[in-house]
Amino acid sequence: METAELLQRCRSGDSLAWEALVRRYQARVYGLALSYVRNPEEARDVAQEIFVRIYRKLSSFNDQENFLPWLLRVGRNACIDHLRRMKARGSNVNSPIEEDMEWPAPGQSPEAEASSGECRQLVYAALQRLSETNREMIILKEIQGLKLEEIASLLALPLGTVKSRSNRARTELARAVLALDPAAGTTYGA
Amino acid sequence: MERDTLDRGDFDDLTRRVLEQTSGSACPSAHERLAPLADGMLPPGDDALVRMHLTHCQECARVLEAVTWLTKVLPTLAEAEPDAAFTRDVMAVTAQVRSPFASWTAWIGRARDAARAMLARPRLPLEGAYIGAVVVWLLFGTSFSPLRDVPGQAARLARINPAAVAQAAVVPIPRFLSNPADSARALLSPEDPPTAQPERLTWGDRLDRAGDRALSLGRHGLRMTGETFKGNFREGGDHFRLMGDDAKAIWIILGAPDPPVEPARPRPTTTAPQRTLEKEA
Repeated sequence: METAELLQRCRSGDSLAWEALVRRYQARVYGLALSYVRNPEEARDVAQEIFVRIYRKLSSFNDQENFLPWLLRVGRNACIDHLRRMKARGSNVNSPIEEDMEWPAPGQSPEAEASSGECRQLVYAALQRLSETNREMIILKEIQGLKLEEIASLLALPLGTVKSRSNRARTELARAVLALDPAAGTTYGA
Repeated sequence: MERDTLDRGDFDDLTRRVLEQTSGSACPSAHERLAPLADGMLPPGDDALVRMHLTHCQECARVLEAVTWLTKVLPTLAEAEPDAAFTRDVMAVTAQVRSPFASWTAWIGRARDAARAMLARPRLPLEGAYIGAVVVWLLFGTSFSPLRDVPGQAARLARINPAAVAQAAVVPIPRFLSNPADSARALLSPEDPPTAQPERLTWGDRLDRAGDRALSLGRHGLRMTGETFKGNFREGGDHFRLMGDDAKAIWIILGAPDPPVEPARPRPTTTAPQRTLEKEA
């Protein structure tokens, strides 16, 4: 079923349609929360909060708009709010990722899963070395695949600034990855 | 034996030394173009220049390799599967959220969330004290307040003549005194009573009754809040109406020139003589 039809049914109060929508986008929302929060437990709570916000705001969603960028915008705002709350409480929002943490990945063969897990860990660790601005650019552009225009609108920045920041952020990330593992790109089967 | 030709390493070294003494290293400039190069978005001129740099710079070549690798890897991080109970938990939470299409319910929910968030703030006691100070200042400190003179006069009275404080509780309130500040002034000069017709309701009685109604007002306020939070808006509305009645009664008791005569309550016995205008007359 198309997303537009699901949304229409959700608006009329069909809980089955809402469940289908949650199942369709939960991996995406959880992935977004994980990118920002970097702690699986907290990311789960934030992802839940994102869905509650989406549920409350469904009536204000414009059908002419693309749903995914709207969802990512709502999700990004929820993640930023969460990080601000954590900062206000004095929690360390830049806590290092645990070495033995298992990163949830979509179903793969055990070998591919192990390799994918190591690869994710390396990239997330490198992401932590970036500035907040560069990290957000990587999350929105490279990971979530938003268009430059959508990012410019979301962050209220000129398109040229977003473009140059995006390029710079990728190179910075590549250098951070190499600093952590000089063999990156060859070890993980580039 | 001396060489008469230079090999590639020598030329690279020569180039590096020349750059050091002129424009500086070209690597930062190359780094800025590596991401568009990996995407194939670099203009032809820039593309050729960067590629030429890469044939001589191993470090930049490694960075380009990593950028290209990241281009494939990063999109795979967009999704991560939560645990199996996630969907069920989301459904349970959103079931508690009432229909988002009934706007008034949504507004109340938002107001409730905002109130909870406000109460959870660590600075709340400080802000409460600040608001309290502002209210006290508005009541007693501003030039337009009818109560502006009361605290100072009461303190002076207590200091100068403590017996008068006890006596003040039974001083009759003249009919023309609609203002508490005037009443306080009258208390300060009991030897020069006003000549208007007295009212048998004393200032102490008024404060006593107003206090009862204030307690009732607070009780109804709390119950109204509680019922509203529980979603019982009808009961909440009833308590709101009762709060209005209490506020009106307090206003009449304290401020009206001719307060309603209510059945007198038994007062605690006092040794101070009751001075009324009738007696003085």
